[in-house]
Amino acid sequence: MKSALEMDQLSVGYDRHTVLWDVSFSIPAGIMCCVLGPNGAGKSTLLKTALGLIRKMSGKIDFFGEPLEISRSRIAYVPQRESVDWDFPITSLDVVLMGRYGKLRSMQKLRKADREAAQNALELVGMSAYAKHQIGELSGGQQQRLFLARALVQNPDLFLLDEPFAGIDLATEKILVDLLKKLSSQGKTIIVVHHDLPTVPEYFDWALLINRHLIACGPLSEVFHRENLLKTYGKTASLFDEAVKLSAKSKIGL
Amino acid sequence: MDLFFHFTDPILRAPTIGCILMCLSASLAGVVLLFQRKLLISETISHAAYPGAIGGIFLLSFLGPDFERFSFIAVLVGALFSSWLGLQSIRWLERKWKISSDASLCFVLAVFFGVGVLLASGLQQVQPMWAQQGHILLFGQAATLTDEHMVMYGLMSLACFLFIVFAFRPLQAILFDRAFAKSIGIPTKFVERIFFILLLVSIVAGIRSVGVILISGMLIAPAVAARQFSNQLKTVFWLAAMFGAFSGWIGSILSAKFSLPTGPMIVLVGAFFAVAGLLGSPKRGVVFRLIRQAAFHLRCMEENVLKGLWKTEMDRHALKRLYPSMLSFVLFRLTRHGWIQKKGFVFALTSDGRTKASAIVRLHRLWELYLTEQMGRDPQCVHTSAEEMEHVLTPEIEERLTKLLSDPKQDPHSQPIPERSSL
Repeated sequence: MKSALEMDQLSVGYDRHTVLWDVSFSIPAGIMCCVLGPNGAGKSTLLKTALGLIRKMSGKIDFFGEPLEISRSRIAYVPQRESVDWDFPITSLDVVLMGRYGKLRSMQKLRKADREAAQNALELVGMSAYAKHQIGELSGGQQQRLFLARALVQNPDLFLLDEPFAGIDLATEKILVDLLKKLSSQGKTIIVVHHDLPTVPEYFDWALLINRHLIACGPLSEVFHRENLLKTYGKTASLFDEAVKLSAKSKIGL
Repeated sequence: MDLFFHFTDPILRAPTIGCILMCLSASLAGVVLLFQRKLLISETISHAAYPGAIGGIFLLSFLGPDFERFSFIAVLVGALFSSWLGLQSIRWLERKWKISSDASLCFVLAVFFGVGVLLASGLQQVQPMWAQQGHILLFGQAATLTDEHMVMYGLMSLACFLFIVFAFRPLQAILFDRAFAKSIGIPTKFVERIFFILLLVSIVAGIRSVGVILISGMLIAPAVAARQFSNQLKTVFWLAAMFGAFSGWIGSILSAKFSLPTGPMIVLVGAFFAVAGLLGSPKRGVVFRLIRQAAFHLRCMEENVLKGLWKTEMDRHALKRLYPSMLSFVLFRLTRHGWIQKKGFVFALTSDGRTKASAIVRLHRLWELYLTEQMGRDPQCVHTSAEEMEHVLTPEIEERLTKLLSDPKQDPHSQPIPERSSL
């Protein structure tokens, strides 16, 4: 299977403080993968480094077998919702259109195709009624859907999402997951920083566990078990038991 | 006309047009800073420019005493150098010594300005003939601007304008969501660097007409005013440019007329726009918010009277006892809108008024029931909350309450809940 994201001996640090070290893994194309780890484990850092937002100290990162500079147009990044100022003077539609900025030259007008793609993306996430609304008027869940719509108009093969389910309502979470699953079934690769263990078996088919270094990366059936989670989450094993119980429950359909 | 006379008069032409152009570029830069949340940096840049500007005059007074006409070039070069030095110091303090950003900004501002003041008094003693050149940099002096200044400010404004036109989309993306902008391949560092050079030049060149101490006001005031009036970044830029140019124009005219310092005059005009924006903007302004507040208050009073009349018809005295404030006005409005009518001495609801009032009572009683049944509150304590909520609950919330309580017929005090008006 071809790999969508491959890292080889990656190390990252902020001013002499190593955040990630010696991370090597390969995530195959077309799967839905979660990145798990406790707070401060370097999950967001992993995504940001992959996208070149943070400088790496050493190591090699490839997307679809090519470096970032070549494969950039095939990747869409969805940052954490809290990372932006939602009081910024812009409408929902304009935020979604931003997804096309990478493809346009600096003075080139937005084409009709771009506008229609943006409308469609808003439709897909159930936000077309809010196209002309100021982003400040949106609820948390709507903001997150807007961010996903912006990623959709990029027409990427790989989605990198940083905690898309943080602080949103269950209904929105369901809409987002269904949409991501649909994309995954179309052959897109989805990588999600996730922090809610109980929902992992339901949402994902692959997991990457990190806590400063790589604990495991592989299909859920192989890596999502007590031993690995203990390694990842240290002493907070109670959390794991909870997850396993829930996982067992959902497997038998309760 | 007096206002336009300033554009053609050979002496007033350069100061007026110069100020307008200078304020224009400053306000455009200010908008970017506003959304970067870095407005304080403009204050530091201008103060850090002061020692360099004085140093430039110092050097020129020794090296080329015959070239006083070109002292503005010495000022410009010196000011650019020292404000750049100031920025590097801030970076160094933040990175190397982990000093928080506002502390290092203030520290650099104070130290550089202090050095500048020392240099200026030194200049006064060593080269008293040149000291005036340094003096005017504190508060600015537009009256002595020359055509060279005008051309310089013109080029500067043009550069700022072109930058914002050509880089609008990347700039918008960076200002809203820098990480995303970088992820789609926008050269964020490059765009920011060009902006920074423009900012530096705008501030340093503006010092001559507005002064070290007040120039940051010229960046901030038009941007703040413009933000109040628009929800589109493009419009915010246009409005800020307009407010900025206007402040420069009016400010320089006023200062010429009353022979007052130009800088404070321009900044005060700019501040007037900002205050007008904060007070008078339709969405965020204080005035309209007060009006909306008053309107809500009035609606509450009207709805309360309707509720009272729904229970029983009353004459004016009985009403006055229950609803003492502004009763006449409330009754007048309710009558005019067709909710109530006067029958002899008593007021009664019209049939439309009855529908409206029962909808309010319905909300009141639904909310009471919700609080007791779903939130476990004592039926004795729910009235106050319901008195408030009956005025704000939307039809969607009513719908959800109805569903949640499975279309109840009685409230916790065994009073009937009126049917939904739409049914």
